[in-house]
Amino acid sequence: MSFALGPLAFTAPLALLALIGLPLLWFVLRATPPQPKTQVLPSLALFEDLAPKEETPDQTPWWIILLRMMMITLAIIGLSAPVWSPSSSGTGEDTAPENMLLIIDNGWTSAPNWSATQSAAMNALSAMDRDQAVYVVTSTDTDFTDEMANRLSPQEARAMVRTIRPNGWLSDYQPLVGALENAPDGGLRTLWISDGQAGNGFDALSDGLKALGAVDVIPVTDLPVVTMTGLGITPDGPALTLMRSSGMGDYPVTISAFDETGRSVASARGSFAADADTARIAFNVPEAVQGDMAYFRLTGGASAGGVWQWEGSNRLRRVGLLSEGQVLQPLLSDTYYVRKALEPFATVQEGTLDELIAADLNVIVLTDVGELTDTVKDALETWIQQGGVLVRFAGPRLAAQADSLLPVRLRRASRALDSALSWDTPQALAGFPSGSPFATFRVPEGVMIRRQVLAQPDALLDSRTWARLDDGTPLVTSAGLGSGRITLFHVTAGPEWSDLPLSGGFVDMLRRATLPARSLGNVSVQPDTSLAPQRWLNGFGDFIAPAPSARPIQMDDLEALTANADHPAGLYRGGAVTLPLNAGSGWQPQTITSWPAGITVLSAAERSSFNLGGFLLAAALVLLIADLLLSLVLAGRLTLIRTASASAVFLLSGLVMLSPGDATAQTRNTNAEASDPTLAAALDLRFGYVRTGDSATDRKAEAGLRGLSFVLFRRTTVEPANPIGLDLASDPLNVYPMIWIELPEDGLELNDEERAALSEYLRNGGAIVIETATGGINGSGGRDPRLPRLLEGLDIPPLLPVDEDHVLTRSFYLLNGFHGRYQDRPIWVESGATTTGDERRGDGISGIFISDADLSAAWAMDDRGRPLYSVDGGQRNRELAYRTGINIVMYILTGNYKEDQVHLPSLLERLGEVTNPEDTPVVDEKPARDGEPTDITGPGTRGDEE
Amino acid sequence: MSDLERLRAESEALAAELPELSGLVRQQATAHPGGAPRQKAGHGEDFWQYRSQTPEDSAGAIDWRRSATGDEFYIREHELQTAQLLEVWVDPSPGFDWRSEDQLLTKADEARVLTTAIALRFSEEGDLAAALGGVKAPARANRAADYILSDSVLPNRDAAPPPSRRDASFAILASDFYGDIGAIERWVLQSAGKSIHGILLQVCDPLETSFPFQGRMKFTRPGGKAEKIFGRVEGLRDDYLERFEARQTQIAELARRVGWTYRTHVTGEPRRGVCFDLMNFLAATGGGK
Repeated sequence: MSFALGPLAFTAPLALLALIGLPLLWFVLRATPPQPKTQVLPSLALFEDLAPKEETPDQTPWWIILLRMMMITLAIIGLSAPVWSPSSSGTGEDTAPENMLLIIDNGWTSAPNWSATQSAAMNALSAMDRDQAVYVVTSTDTDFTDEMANRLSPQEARAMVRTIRPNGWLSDYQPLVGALENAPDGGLRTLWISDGQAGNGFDALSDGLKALGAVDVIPVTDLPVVTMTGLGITPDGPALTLMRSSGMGDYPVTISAFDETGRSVASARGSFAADADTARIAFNVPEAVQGDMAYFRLTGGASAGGVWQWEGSNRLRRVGLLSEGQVLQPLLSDTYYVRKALEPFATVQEGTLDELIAADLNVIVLTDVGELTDTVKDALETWIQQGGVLVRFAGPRLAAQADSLLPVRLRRASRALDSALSWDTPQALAGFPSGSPFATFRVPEGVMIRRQVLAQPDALLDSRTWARLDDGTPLVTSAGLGSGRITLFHVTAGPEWSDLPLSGGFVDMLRRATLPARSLGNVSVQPDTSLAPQRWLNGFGDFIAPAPSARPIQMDDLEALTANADHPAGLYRGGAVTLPLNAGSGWQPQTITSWPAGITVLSAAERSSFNLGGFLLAAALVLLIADLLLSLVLAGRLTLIRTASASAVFLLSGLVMLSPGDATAQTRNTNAEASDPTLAAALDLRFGYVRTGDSATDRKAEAGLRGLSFVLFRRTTVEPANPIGLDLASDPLNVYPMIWIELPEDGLELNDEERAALSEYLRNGGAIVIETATGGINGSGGRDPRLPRLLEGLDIPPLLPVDEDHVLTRSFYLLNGFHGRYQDRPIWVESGATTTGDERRGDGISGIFISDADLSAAWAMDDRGRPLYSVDGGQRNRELAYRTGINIVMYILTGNYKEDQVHLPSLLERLGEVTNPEDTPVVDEKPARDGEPTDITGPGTRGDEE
Repeated sequence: MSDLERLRAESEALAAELPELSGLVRQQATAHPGGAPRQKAGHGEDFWQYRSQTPEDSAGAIDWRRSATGDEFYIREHELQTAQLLEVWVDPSPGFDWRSEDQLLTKADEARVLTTAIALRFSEEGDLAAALGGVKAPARANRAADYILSDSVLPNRDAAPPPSRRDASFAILASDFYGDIGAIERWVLQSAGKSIHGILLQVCDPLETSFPFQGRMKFTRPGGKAEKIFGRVEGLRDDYLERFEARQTQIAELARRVGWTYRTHVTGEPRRGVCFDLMNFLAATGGGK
């Protein structure tokens, strides 16, 4: 079939016969004139009958003919499938065609050189005669019965080789040695494409192959195998140990860390020293980023060994928090601070203690839990002894009644450092003893401890103390129990007893305090747990889904487990245990430096041949395209291309012109952000009013609040800035101490989002003032129908009109009634002050005020401080309206401060002194900061205390 | 479809550059444009006769001054006066509605601009203008311009000019005159017999007058199916120009025979000169009344 010219052979020589037709083509090409240009011309009518003077075609240029002839010649030669094989003369001497055993190493160590490996095998196969039989086996297989029986032609073998991929475990030659006994009879020549690493059973295999026949080896080791073999943890982040197979010389490496979703979160660089086989690359990243790291990948090292998965017990902290049930004021709840501090690095689960113990957690946090019941205590103790970590916080209940699950014995009753009966002052944090896990932390500044539980002096106390106060008393103590540990913070987790929960150091301390006592994997897992594969790594280091027939790993053979054919590298999970099986774990390079005698080492080129057909056809195609373009140019059709390119240039220049405009737009945006109203409200005290969409109402509300702010500024230490209009749904409300709702004529209805935002604002201690501005005309006896529509769906407690001795009547001025534009109208507030029980919100301070006196109209001022509306009773009444407003603001800002009966005698005395008791200020307006000592109720002194 | 707004704007700009017809007429000292007495009763300014009232006359038509002298009612009648009429025709053949470059107007649009500008000037002092064979009645000034433009783009217009509305009027035929010269000739002779004065305006594309082609060319003609391939068209140029000029001479001869005028205008060249000449011709022959 084939026809050879030295090393050049044609596998389809008959196609060359087509070359005979070339001279014929010459004439055809010459005779075809180029396509004429077409022109529309109406005056053709004048000479339609004119005979063409000269019809001989234009000569086709000679070089076009040459181009086309070359094109066709190349195509014909290409179709005759020429093959360039320099070694074919060598194979020619083997007259008897031998069958071939092709061994391909496809452990993950072959992955960096995989395309070279594959092409070496393909080239060797294409150089073979068609009559020869090939048996293809791979080094990662374990069962060879099929392969040894499967006699393939070289063509079929090529298709087979194309489907082989490197696997996520190492080559193991042992099963292959066994299978060689079943090798087919007759001469077998072996070709072994090796990755240069001596796998298990290497010597046995080479001996076995030599017994079969001649053995050729093509080692493909162009690129070194670089592998992550271990991971250590430093305070700054994980540090990876790397190993490489060969290749002396400086070799830079980059490792990227990825999170669960495959997003790159960090990267680190390093390099192998010139004469070293190992390297260590450490990450220096914040712990929040460490928490996200799920696996590491070597940049450019496309093998399973270049991926290190980092999961499971050595990192993940699952923390249980004893839940407190419904919490009305989250900012005052202990668990809120613990949860916030844990969130950066741990998953938090809440539940009852029984649920938490059953939930396979690493850490359980108890905030101010007194005595536990015996059964729960026993269960908890067992859990700690098995390696759990218990973190407790003190509190009134623990101080009163403590159980034995504590690192130290406590004294009954807590010690208050700043109470009225104590001579002590609040204590600062002194520092962390050297044995403490906090020893490396900087001592947080400005943290004051006002109250603590005290430990009984004890010989062990010193060694169990992790943090102490200035006076030497312990703040954090900890002791081991079984495999676990108990840690006690001697203060509450909330800010009542100390400033610690408000400081950044609290997060760091909790992070260390919740470190597992020991690796969870060995402790809390039953030996018969089986770990199911979650994902596998293929040889290239890509994550793949596990095969349906994948077998789980049994916990009892976890010791010395490496990735193998049954359990490829990947992630296995069972119960609470997540086991990353890393391909490179513990890997040692076993580079083959000298092959055993009797094995011929070839280079890849020596066993390859080269198909020229594709190149020739590609060249013909290139010429065809060139010819097409030339023909277009000759026929004058390329004008289209010219205009297209011109318009492209025009568009590009247009883009360049546009870009400066974008830049200015961006700077304008940043300026706009600087004047963000939320930022302004957070920096200064401001009142907010709800934008109702009715512009007259909004203007009135704003003018009223502006007037009130102005008067407050002049008379009191409350110095508000200009009010801000709010969108309840989108603006953060918590920065406003008071939100004004001016009801428009046709009422106001809130949507669900606004209602939710307003409810949350009220729950967090906000205050809203609703002004109906009807003056009682509309509904003195009846109800204003707009109010139920507004308040529907809000959590509103019962309301009452303010009675004479309500704090609102004396929070700044002594008032006999509340006046706005209409005189002496009632203000309705929450009746919370009169209810009893723990559910009182905000110490019984009302968060809702409903007025119909049209306060805002009485207060309203324009920019120059001139009143905008007339008021019943004139200027005198306007003054009373301002006093009403000041009292409301004072009440909102200071709460029930003035309710305190301590000042009652003083108040009574003053009431008796004045002739007109109607509305006398309790104090002079704006008293000096160091006012007379009897002036204990002044707002100025209040300001000092804050 | 032509962009009539644009054509209208160009016409008005062109008309503004042209002199008033009456000025030209005074200069020529021949005749007055405007109403021509028709020697019978009708709409006009001059008194014609009194006649007795008939029942179909309205009371408002009664001339009370005359009637007051007797018992009978009289109606005052005026002498019929009619205006001069200018009719323009733009060749509807597809070859005429063609341009060689996008920057130019098509020959037909160019002809519309020229004729409309002349008609605007012609009709602004009481005379009428219309499109030859148009559906709209003759009108004056701006309305005439609108009517001419809208009528001159009507589809299904005849290839040959339709008969004129009235004897002793004026006509402008705008075409490239590449088509059947016989039809044109017949129409011109017939019209001249009805004492119509006319202008033959040939509008050409620059490509048609210069014939700048070279090499191997395939020519087609709008509206014609024939393709004509010539190798080396540069050799054809002399023959072409010869035939082109022969056609022009033929038309000029036809115009000369009936005392009409003939002008050639090439698209893209200044329009003012040709319009001025044509206005002068109209003014000179305005003595038809």
